[in-house]
Amino acid sequence: MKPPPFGYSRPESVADALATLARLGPDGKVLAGGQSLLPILSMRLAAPHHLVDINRLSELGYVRVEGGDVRVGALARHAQVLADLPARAAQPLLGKALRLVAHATIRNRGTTVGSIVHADPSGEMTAVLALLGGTVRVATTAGERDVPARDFFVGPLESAVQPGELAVSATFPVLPPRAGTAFVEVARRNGDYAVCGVGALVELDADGAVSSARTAYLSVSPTPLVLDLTDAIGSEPDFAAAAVAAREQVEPEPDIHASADYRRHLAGVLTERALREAHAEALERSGRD
Amino acid sequence: MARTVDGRPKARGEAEFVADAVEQPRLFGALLTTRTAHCRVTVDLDALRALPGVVVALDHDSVPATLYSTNPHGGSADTSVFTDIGRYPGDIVGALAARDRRSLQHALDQSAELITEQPLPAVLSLEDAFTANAEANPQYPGNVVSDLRIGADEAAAREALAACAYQHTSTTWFEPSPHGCLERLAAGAERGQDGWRVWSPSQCPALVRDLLADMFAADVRLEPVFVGGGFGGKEELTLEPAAMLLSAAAGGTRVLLESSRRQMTAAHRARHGGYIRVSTGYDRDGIFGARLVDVVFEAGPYDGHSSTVAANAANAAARLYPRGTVTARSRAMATNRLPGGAFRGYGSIQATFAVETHVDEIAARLGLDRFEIRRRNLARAGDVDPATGLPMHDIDAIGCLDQLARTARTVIATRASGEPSEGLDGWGISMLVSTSAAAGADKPDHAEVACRLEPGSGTVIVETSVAEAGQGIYPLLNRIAANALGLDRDRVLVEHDVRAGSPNDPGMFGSRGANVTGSAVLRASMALRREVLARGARLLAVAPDVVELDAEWTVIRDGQHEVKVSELDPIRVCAEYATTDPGLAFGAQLAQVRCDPRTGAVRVQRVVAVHDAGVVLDEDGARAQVEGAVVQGIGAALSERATFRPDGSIAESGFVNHLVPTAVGLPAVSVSFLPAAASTGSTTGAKGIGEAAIMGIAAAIGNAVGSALGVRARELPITGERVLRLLENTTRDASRSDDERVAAS
Ligand SMILES: Cc1cc2nc3c(=O)[nH]c(=O)nc-3n(C[C@H](O)[C@H](O)[C@H](O)COP(=O)(O)OP(=O)(O)OC[C@H]3O[C@@H](n4cnc5c(N)ncnc54)[C@H](O)[C@@H]3O)c2cc1C
Repeated sequence: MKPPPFGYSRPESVADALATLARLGPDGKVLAGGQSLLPILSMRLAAPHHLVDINRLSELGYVRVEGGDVRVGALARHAQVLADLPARAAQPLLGKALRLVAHATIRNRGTTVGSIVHADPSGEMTAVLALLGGTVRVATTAGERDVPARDFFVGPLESAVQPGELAVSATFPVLPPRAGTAFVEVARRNGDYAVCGVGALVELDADGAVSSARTAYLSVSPTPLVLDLTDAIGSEPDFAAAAVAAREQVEPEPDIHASADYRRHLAGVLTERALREAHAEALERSGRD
Repeated sequence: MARTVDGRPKARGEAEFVADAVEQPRLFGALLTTRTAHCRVTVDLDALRALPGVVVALDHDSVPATLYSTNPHGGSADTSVFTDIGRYPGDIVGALAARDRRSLQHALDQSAELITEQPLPAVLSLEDAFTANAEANPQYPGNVVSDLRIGADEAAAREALAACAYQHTSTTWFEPSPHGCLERLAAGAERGQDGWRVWSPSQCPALVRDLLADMFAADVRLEPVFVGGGFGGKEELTLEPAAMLLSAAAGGTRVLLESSRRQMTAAHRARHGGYIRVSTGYDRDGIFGARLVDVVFEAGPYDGHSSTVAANAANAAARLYPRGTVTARSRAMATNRLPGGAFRGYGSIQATFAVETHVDEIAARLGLDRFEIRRRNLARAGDVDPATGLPMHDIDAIGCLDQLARTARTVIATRASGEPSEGLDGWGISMLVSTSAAAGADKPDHAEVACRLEPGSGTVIVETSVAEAGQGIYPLLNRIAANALGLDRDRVLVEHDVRAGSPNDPGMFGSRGANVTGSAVLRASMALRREVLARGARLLAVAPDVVELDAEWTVIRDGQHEVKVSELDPIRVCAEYATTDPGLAFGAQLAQVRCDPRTGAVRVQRVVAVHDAGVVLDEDGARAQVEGAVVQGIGAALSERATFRPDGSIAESGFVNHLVPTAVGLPAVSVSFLPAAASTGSTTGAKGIGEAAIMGIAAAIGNAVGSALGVRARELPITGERVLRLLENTTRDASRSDDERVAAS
C-alpha cells in the first residue's frame, strides 16, 4: 500500500463521529472526499494514526438556502453544490468558483467543506468563503461554534479546526441586491490549481455608484487574501486603478509554474477583469445598464 | 473496428505491470542514485547490508568493468551498470534488495547518508559544454558526443546563402521534457537451471534478450510485459542488468526492481533540450536558394540515443525543403545533467518547430501566404534527400499541404466552439516529414516473422517478437495476415514470441511497424498460402498451379479430387523483410488557438492533421495514433518540461508538477489521410504514422500564436509567462521591428 499504515473508523452518525474524534484526540483525522487527504497520504507527506471516514453521515449531505445564507453540509460534494440551482441563484459566486475547482471526477468526490478545512491558499472555495465573509460551523461532543472566515484560515493548509473537532457546515451569505460577482483565473493546464485566481464582489448604492469593491486571491499568499478596493476603484469605476492597487498589495512567491512577477502581473489583470465583470452584473441586477 | 488486444484489460484495470508479472518476488530492489551533478562516489555497503531486511547491496565494485551502451540498437559503450563516478544528479551508483518493501523503503531513507559524494567540476549548461574547462565525461573530449553533417559542403552552402537576395536566421530553444509513461520502469530477474529469466517492459525485447545474454554470457529467457507507455522511454537498457546483478548476488533468487516516479521524471531520460539555428537565403518570390541547419542537443553525460536523435533532427530539418543548397550539422553535447533519450518524434518535434516557425517568419517578411511559400519550396519526388543523397520517391508533400488548405478554409471560417473566453484567435500550420523504417544505406531495417497453420483448428498464428504496448500493432498484423490469407480475422492470431531463435524483430520504434514488420507478415502469409497449396498438390499428386483453396480454407481441390486442410501436417513458414529505404512520409497540420494577450495563456481549440500514411491498413488504428500524438504534441508545445535547478537537478518530481495533458479540455481533432498509391504487392505500402503525427503540433501551435498575437514564440514549451514576456518586449521594440519590416520589403 502506498500510504503509511493507519487505523480506520466509519461512524454512522454525527454523534458517533464526534465521540470517535473526541476519543482519538490528536490521533484522529477526518476523511471526507479524500481528494486532498489521500494523495497526501500516498505521497507520505502526512501519517495520521487514525482516519475517521465521514462518508456515511448522509445527514450532512445537504445544500440549503436559509435566511440570508447558503448553508452547505460537510458531506455535500462540490458537484452537488454546483448542481444546486436555488443555492446558485442565491449566491451566484458559488457556481462561478466551483466550475473552476479541479475537474468533474474530482468534484464528484471532493467536498466543499473539506476543501475549506483543507485551507489550501490555491483553493477557490477558501477564497469565496473569505470574500463573502462566511462562517464555518465546527462541532465537538461539547457543542458547536461558528468561526468567521477571517479567523478560520490560520496558515497554508492550516485552519481553525482543532483535533477532536468536526466541521459540520459552511455558510455563505447570499448576494445582496445591487451586487455582482465574478471569478476568473489562469492555470497552466485545464483543471489544475490556478497560478493565480481572483474572486470579486461589487456592490452599488441606490444611485448606481460603487459602494463596495472587494477581491480575493488564489495562490499569491499563505492564507486567502481579501482586498478592499473600494477606494481605489472610486465611484466612477476605474478598474485599471483597482488593478494597480491590487498589484501593489499582493506578495506572491515564485515556484516552477510561475515567477513572482508573472503572478503579480496576473493578479492585476485578473483583478481588473473580475471587477469589470462583477460590476456589469451588479448593474444588470440593479435593473439598469 | 480494430480489435485492440489491450483495450479491455486496461480499461478494467486488469493489465499487468511488471510488478504483477513477477509473481511473489523473494527480494524487492531499488536503485541507489546520486544527488550531485558530477562526483566521485563511495557507497558504504557494509552499513547498507546491516540495515534490517536488506539482503543485497551492490555498487561499482560488484559489476564487470566493461562499459556498455544503454541504447539497444548499439552506440558508444560509455555506461557502467553501477558507476563510481556520478555524472548527473540521479546517476545509478548501485542497488539494494530487501526482503520486503517496507525494509527496502527504510533502507532507501537511510541510504543518502551512506553514499559519499566528492564533487568534481561539473558541466551545468550547454554553454558550459562549449566554454567551460570541465569535462562531463572524459570519454567525450571538449564535451562533444557527436558532430555530424549531411547535405552540401558547408562552405558551398554559405556561399549560396550569401548569393541570395535575402537572408533570414532564427534560433529556437528547447527545454528538455521527461517521459510520462503510465508504467514506471521496472525489471524482474531470476536464475534457474537453464539460465536467466528476465521480466522487462522494453520496447525492444528481442534486442534486450540478446544484449543481456551477451553481457552475462548465459541463456536469457525474456518475459516481456507491456502495460504501455513506451514512446522511447523504454528503449534504453538500464534496469534489467541491475536486476540480474541483484539476483546473482542472492544466489539467483527472484528479484523485482522498480524505479520511482521521481526517478522517471527527474533522472531517467528526456526529450532533448538544446537549440536549433536555421538560416535561409531566398528571393523576392520566396524561393529558397540555400538553407543551413545547426542542431545542438544536450546529451547529458552518456550518448545513449543522443547522437542519433540529433542526427535525425538534422535529417528532418533538411528534408522538408531540400531544394537549393542545403546542409545540416548536428551535435550532441555532453553535460552533467539529465540525459536526453529517445522520445516519440526522435528530435523531429524540435526540428519541425525550428524550421516551420522560421518559414512563417519569411512568409511574413515577404507578405506571402503561408500555404503558398511552402508550396513553392516543399520536397517533390525526384529531389535529392540531403540525408541519404538519393532521390526522394513516392512522396506527396504538396498533396498534404493542398488537402490541408482545403480543410483549413472551412475551419478558419468558423470560429472555434468551446467556452467563451477573452482572447484573440489565430491559426498556424506546419509541414512535417517522418520515416517508416529505422533504415539507412549502411544499416537496413529488418524484420522476421513466422506464420503457422494449425490444421486441426484451421487457425493461423503469426509469431513476432515485436512488442504490443498499446500502439495497436497486433490488430494491424492480424488484418494484414487475414487479408493476405483470405481468412476471417477470427482465424488469425498474433502471438508474441521472444524466445531465443524465434523470428527476430527488433521491436517497437521508428514508426516501422506497419511498413517493416507488416511487410514481413504479408510475405509470410503469402508464403504460408503457397505452402498449403503445395502440400495439397503433393497429396493429390498434381502440380501446385492446378489446385485451389476454397474460401473457408477447408479443402484443397484440383477439380476432381480434394484433400481436407485439417488433414495436413502442421505448417510453419518464416519470412523476412529488409529495407534500406527510410520510407519518407509527409504530413501537414493546422492548429487553431485562442490567446489571451494580457495573461499570455494559450488554449488550443482545434487541430487538423493530414497525413500521407501510404496504404492505410487500419483506419481506426491510424486515426487513434494521430489523436494520441496530437495530445502528446500539445503537452510538448505548452506545458511539459524539466526545469533545471542551479545545481543541475530537476525541480519536477512527478505528475503533480510534470504537466502532461489530461482528458480535460482537449481540442477537437480532425484527421484525414491522402488517397494512397497502390502498394507493390509484396510490401504493405504503409508508411509510418506514430511519430509523424506528433511532429508538427508544437510548430503549428507556435505559428498560430504568432498569427493571433503577432509575436514569435522561439522556445518550447510556450508557457503563458513566456508569451507575456514576448508581448512586453515587442511593445518595447515596436519601432525597431517596424524598421526591420521596411528593410525587408
Ligand atoms: C487532481 C486534483 C486537482 C484539484 N484541483 C483543485 C482546484 O483546482 N481547486 C481546489 O480548490 N481544489 C482542488 N482539488 C482539491 C479538491 O477540491 C479536494 O476535494 C478538496 O480540497 C478537499 O475536499 P475532500 O472532501 O476531498 O477532503 P479530504 O481530502 O477528505 O480532506 C482534506 C482535509 O480536510 C480535512 N477535513 C475534510 N473534511 C473535514 C470536516 N468535515 N471536518 C474536519 N476536517 C475535515 C481532512 O482531515 C483533511 O485534512 C484538487 C484535487 C485533485 C486530486
